[in-house]
Amino acid sequence: MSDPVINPPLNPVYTGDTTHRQDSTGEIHDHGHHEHHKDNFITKYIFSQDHKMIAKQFLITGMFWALVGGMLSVIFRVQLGFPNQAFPILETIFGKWAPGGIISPDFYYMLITMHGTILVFFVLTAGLSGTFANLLIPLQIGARDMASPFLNMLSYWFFFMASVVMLASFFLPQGASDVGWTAYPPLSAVHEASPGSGAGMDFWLIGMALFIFSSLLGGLNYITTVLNLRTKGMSMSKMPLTIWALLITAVLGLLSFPVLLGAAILLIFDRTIGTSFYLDNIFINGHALPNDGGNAILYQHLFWFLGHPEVYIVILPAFGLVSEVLATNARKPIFGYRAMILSLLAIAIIAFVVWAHHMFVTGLNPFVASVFVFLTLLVAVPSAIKVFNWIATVWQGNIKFAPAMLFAIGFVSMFISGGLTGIFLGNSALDIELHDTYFVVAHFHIVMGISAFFGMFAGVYHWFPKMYGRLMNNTLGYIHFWVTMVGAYMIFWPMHYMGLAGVPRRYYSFDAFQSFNMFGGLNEFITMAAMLVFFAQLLFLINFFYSIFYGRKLTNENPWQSNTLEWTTPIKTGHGNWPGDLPTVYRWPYDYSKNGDEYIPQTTPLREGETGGH
Amino acid sequence: MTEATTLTTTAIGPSRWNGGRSPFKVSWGKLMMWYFLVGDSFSFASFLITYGALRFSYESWPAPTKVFSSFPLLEGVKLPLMFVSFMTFTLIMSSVTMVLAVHYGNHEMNRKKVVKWLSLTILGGIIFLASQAWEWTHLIVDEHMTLSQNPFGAPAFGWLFFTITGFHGFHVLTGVIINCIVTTKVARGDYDRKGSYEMVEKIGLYWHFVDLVWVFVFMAFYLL
Amino acid sequence: MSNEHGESANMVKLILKTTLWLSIITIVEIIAAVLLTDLFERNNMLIVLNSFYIIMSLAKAFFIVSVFMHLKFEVKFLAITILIPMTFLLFAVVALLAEGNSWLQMRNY
Repeated sequence: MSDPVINPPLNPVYTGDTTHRQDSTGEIHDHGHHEHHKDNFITKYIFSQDHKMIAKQFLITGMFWALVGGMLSVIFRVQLGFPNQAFPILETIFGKWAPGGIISPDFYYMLITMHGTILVFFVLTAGLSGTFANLLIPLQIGARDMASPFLNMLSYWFFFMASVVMLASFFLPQGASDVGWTAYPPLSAVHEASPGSGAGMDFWLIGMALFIFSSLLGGLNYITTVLNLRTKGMSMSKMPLTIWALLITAVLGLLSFPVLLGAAILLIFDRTIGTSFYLDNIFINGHALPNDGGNAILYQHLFWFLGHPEVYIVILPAFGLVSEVLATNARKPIFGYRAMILSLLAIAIIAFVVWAHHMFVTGLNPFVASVFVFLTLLVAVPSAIKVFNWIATVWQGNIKFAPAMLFAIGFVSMFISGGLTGIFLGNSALDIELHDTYFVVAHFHIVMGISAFFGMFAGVYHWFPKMYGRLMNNTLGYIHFWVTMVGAYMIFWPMHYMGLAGVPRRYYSFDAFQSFNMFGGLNEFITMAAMLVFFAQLLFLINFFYSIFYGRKLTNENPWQSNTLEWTTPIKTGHGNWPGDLPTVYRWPYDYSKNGDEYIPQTTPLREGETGGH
Repeated sequence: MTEATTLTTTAIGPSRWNGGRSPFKVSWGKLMMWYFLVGDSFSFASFLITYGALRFSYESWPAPTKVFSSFPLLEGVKLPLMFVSFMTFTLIMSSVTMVLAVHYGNHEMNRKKVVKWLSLTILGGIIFLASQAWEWTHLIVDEHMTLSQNPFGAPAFGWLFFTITGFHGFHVLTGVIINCIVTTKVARGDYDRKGSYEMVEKIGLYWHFVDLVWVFVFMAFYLL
Repeated sequence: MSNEHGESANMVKLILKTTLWLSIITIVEIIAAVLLTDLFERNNMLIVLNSFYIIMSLAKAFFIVSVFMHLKFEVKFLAITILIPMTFLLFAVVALLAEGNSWLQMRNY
């Protein structure tokens, strides 16, 4: 009897129903129906219900937004690096927003607001977990598709609508929202407070509401799929760490985004129907507003109840992707598999009880603050466990320096540098000095912005062959990595010094402060570095799109000699993923360099006398 | 062959967590509904926590027995909390009819009984919504409690009340609409053909959740 | 079949019993609110009454979730995954009530 698991029979492409047939007790009935239904252009590329296509849609939309968001930062860095210097081209492009070639203050605030919103939500939430949860969950757990392909499609299209609304807000006469990505009231609650507080803020709120629906629909799907639709043998302790990370990310999103929705609804009511949840004693042009009796800090609590889990929603998928890439390319089992899972869980739990550390200087009750300091510093423990495990995984490995591996190693470096400054900021007493300075900017950009981007790049370089059946160009990948790695440190490292000297963030210019003159040259340097890094990303985009059409074709379905299930599917993976039966799993995904075998896929049964796993 | 089989079973094991089926013995649809409700409870919680925080920031708070003391058609008679008791019972009863509909669907696949109990649930929902409409109208028109002013005391009471009961009412309305759709499908025999009344159970979960939220809304505004 | 029928009848009995409990608790709550509030307020004991409401509401929630939503009869771990997140809310309630109280203090200064 031939083993059907290792050599799947080359049936015609699976054309069965990819909606999972599960009876009311949750038993999966996977019969390969062979009824043919043809996809046309619209059902294949636009309103696709195939998780792999939806992943590509999320990725490419996310890349578009990353380009826009990165461009915004380059423009406002011009103002910070070269204040009062006229660049006539800016007036040519932006018209009234840059009179005489100098960016106007209103435009500056619009740029930083939208930069934050776009990168945190549209790129690093939707673009990162949207892409990789969709691509990897069904493939790595051995499922035909997500639990509900239809809701999955809706999830993307809600994101698309949110994108359209957000993009449209740039073209409003008064411009997009300019109240900061956190949208604190009263600036966000009172229409006349600033140019972007009017229509721009309305568009922002509508866009965010659509975005929240998108991530809830996606998240519900990810959770139920991972819990219910694992293939035979894929117990929770045999799941790749990517899946663990994406599962926990989805749980965080499910529990925190509704709270943001609540906060946004109350904000909309304050703006439109005259309630005063967040408003108290506000004077505009010498006139008191009728709104009275609310509290602006309330919004901050609700916002950061989402906002803090949100930073883990951004970073956890990167944790998962990096763990997988490191183990595969170091040809070594991941070090401390269980510790990795437990630390993910610990981070997720702590995520919900530390939000007020963003609010130490708002007039928070000092006793409440002290509780939050304690809980915040606890995050260092699971984070350190993860870092040590990554280092131990690479330690004495037979490392293959693929671009994905470089980005994964770069991720660990960035996460350490950024994480250490988090310990400073978690102390409420130190935070009084450091709050809202460039120290904070440096901290969160390194630990969450750059790190998450590195995780994403590692993921794209690693799974590109799975998505498109071709390889990306390695040389361009190496150049991309080194410029980004060095450049990112050149941008954010100096910011620590500025922050310690007290330079506040979000300021349009520092002309009024003699003592900050000394940082003029440094600011110029940072701006140049930012431009350099931005242009390096264009290399990545060129590499990506060129390789989709002209990259080296894959000849082997498992180019990285990896153990996980997605590499057991054919190179051109059809809807339904496996042409024959679903694979059966016998071992954990990290059997690298075991008993003389370089790698042993999860579908290989245990040998006589061999003990599985950890 | 036997060797291979034993190998497989020892490697995979009998636990429900080992894949190929749901660890919770439920379909993905029901699981999704459960977790949706967990998420939705966080949006309600954000409102109720807002209520708590704002209330604690006020020296005094209107007494519910003074605010809610009217009954339709009985003008001038003070009947504190009587109307809301009626509303609460309507909602509890509609929850009972719903659970009976789910029960007869799952255990007997009895189309007639399911339609009967579902219709009564819809009726309960509509009565609840109508009562809420009357209560709001009375408070706004007769008592002049609006989003910006409150004759009973703290103005925050007014906008919190309208926002939170409004959000709950919106959930009831959604529930009534979905119930109508499902009732039609039951009556048409869709679920008999499918061989499973699970959809009734799923919307049942949603309906009970709405009742569950009312327990806390009721506690916050009418009791505490 | 007869066994299943008996089970079904038992379930209906349980549903009706739960309904009865929910009704009794609600009636007691309302009676307390209407008749006892003044008494407790005068003696500065309102916190006792309020604790009673909270406990009773939690009891009602327990009945609804366990019997009506059938959670009592599901796999226990499902219930755990649903209940664990609720503890975050508990923490949020405590933190925000403390905050509300501190806003009051600040307003009084």
